[in-house]
Amino acid sequence: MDSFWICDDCLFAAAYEDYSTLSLYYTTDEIEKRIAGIHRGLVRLMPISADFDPETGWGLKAFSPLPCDGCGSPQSGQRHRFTRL
Amino acid sequence: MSTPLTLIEASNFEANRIVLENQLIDEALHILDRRLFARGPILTSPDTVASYLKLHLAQQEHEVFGVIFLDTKHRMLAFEVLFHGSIDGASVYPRQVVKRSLAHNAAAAIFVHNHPSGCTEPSQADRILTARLKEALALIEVRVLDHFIVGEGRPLSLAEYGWL
Repeated sequence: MDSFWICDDCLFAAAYEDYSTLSLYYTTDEIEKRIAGIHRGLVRLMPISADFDPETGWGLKAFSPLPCDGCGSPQSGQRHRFTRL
Repeated sequence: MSTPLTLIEASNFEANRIVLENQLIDEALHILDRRLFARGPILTSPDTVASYLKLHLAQQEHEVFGVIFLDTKHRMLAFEVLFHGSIDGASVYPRQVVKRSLAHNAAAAIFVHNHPSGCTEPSQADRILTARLKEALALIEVRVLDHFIVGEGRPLSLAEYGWL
């Protein structure tokens, strides 16, 4: 099974369609582009399922310098493992 | 009239059993108190909080966002780092902060994030984020006491600057 490490923005988009944080860092035009990028990335990976446990930290990387496997954002940070079904 | 020997033995045995049971009950109550009502230090002074947070976050090479969850007496329930970001930013989602506040049954919260650059000046995004989080937590009656930025020198308190 293929596993992917995705960023917080992709996680909250996939789980809740929550893009609320984007407006803090991007302009309106940039937000639209970012949301489109997140969608494209997630659709490309589908069907995927969350493969991490926040309680134990299993399937989580607190910090990764690698780009997100979903949206491709080069921004380093936390990553969550998802696995293709 | 003399008491039969068997009755004395039975009565002693019963008394011992009650003493042992009472000890067990006392111990169980003590464990229950420790588990249910154990709290961290009372964080009433901004200086204490600032030092505590600096110790926890100063060495981080990337930006992290954490929350101190407190009870109604402002005793610490837990400190959790909720988001890890890059060198210059972290995505903070209010729903996660609300979720963890409910999980800890918190009555108040103190936010903290670090600026790996060392500069503790809050950005516009920091101030908007604080206002959003405060609004979200108000819905579940969790008071936001402060938001600290850890960098070089003493952590900056948004409350002290009247930015909360």
